[in-house]
Amino acid sequence: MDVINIIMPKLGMTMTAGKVVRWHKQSGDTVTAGEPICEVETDKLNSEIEAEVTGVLTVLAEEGGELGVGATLGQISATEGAERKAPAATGAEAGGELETISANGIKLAVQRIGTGSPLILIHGLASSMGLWAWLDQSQLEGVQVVSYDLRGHGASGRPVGAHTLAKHMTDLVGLLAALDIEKATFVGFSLGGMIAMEFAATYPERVTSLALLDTTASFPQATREMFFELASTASFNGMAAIADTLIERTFSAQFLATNPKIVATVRKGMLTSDASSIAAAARMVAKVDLSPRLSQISCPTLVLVGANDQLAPPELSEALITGIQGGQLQVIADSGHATPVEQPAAVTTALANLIKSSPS
Amino acid sequence: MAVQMKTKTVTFAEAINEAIRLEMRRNPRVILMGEDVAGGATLEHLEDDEAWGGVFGVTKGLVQEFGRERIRDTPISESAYIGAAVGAAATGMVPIAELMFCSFIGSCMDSLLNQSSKIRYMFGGKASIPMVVRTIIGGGFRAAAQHAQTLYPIFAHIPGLKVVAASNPADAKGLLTAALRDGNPVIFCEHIALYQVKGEMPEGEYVVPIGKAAITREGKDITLVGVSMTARHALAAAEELAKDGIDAEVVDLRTVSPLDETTILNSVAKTGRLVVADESNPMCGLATYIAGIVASKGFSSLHAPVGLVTPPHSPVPFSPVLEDAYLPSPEKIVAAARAVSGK
Repeated sequence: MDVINIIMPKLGMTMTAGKVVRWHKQSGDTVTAGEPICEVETDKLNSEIEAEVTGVLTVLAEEGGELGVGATLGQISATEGAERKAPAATGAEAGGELETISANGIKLAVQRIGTGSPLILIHGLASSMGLWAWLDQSQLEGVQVVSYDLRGHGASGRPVGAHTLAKHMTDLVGLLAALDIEKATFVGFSLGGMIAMEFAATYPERVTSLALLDTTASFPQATREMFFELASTASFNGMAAIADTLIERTFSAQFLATNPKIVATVRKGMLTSDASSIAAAARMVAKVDLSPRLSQISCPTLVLVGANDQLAPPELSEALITGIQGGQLQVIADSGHATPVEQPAAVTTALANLIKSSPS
Repeated sequence: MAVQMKTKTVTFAEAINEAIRLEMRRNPRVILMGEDVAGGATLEHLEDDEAWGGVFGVTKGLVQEFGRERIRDTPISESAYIGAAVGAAATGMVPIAELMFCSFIGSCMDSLLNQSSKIRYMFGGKASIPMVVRTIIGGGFRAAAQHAQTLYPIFAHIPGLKVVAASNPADAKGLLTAALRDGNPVIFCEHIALYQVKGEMPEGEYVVPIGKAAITREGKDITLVGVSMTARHALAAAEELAKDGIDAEVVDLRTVSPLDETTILNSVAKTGRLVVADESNPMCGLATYIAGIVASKGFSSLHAPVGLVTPPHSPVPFSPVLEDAYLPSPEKIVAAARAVSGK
């Protein structure tokens, strides 16, 4: 049974501490995922903290007490198989704002949270920056988390035309220029990992360290063919025709069974995506082969993969470790392809460790 | 098909796309050529990942997977590229050449009539022409006289050519796969109004045999024979006739040539009455040919003259009212069936 910490959230860029105003529930009460359980206050605003999971509450911080951002207020012993709450619709709860910038001739949706050394998060095929919503910001101290929507995805522009790694790279370079970021840690999930690898191989001086989540240098032939077929099906029949297949490949069976609301949110995001863009991105993924580029990656690299990842199985991550000098492999138990969604705590810890151990 | 395969719902166009894709993976000698079959995709200056892929998007997505060596856009010259396809086939390729509309056969007739269909025969088997010509037949889109014809009787008249026309996605994929493995020139007819029609289609590779008709509805009172769009109309007509107590058996030819005479004659032997519905013109057309075969070989089975539902001997009209009057329809099949049944 999981014990989840309730922590003081960072409700604004300058917030360092908050006050516990009132607990709505007592120790020993059962709380439901999404239910408001505690009111906290800063010098600027009051906010409700919602239960992350369904389970039994333990109150640790007294009403009226003041605690620093990230401190533990209480705990919830999660009920076996309980569903987690879906992430906030906007970044406001985590203190970030959605911006739109122009880069490489298109509009890119970006979100920046926190201050410190930049951490660039790059999502995967048919996803959006919402992929990262479950990461625990408070564990990433001294870090500015920058996440953006790839072209053709989320709220970013949807230019007509084939997707190529070169175009995604130019988008990223333009994004970094607009945000005045010279050097950063890059975290890429799946397709995002391919973009991150290409960037690290091309601009090694701009990469402090690299995290490659559930990705690969190239997919096996059968998977490539599957991507071409998904692209065609999406072209002919829209996103509705491939959403189920994508979801089955993205999440472990266990997660699908116990988190229907999160899966429904992800499905909704897929259905509102632009089928032509997703098809173009899938065709790009089908053709990528980064094997010759791996030897050019010289920064500290974390390769992380879900033990039950059906789409990019651990063998592919092992191949990355063979190709990238000094890379570290971490296999996350009890997770399918979407480790940032299925095991966000483990992913956050892994990233926090990567940041701590890398030279700035 | 004896084995139960997993199916998915797809459009007719998608089924054709999948047949081409799977066979191109299986056989590296298969190539696709025609006007805009690749389109602008993968070309920087025409950049649109979804561009064209055939005038109706049937071959969308293929050039991204197989590249421009195997998916070739040709000049607008049927005589040039159908001729090139015959040559390619003679040297060991398996070309799929798209004749955008069957009306364009006028521009490449020699390659089909005198070359592709005759080479194996005239060379005593020392050469063969494994090629598939995919072409659009049929009307209903107000495309007028030069873009709405159904010319399979002209193809079928030529010995050495096989001619197929599916009425649903499952048959389309299976017949195209069979055509690509046949080793002979096959004309694969795609009805223009069928592209968006949906149906269940098995996943993976499978073949529907050329030359074998399908009984799509069993019945005892009358046989309705159709092919491509009229096979679908015949099924709709059968539903209507059932309300009047006329139990119709529907034969979907699937292949125009070689014609499955056995299935037709067996069905007429069972029911004693026949209506043939066909969108090609009646003068030396498919419906009149079938009526002649049955009159010749199945005369003793017939209780009534053969009913024919065909367009008139006329170009396809442009006027919507006239085109609708021109085309076969379920209502016309029902009327003919009633007349043949004496009801």
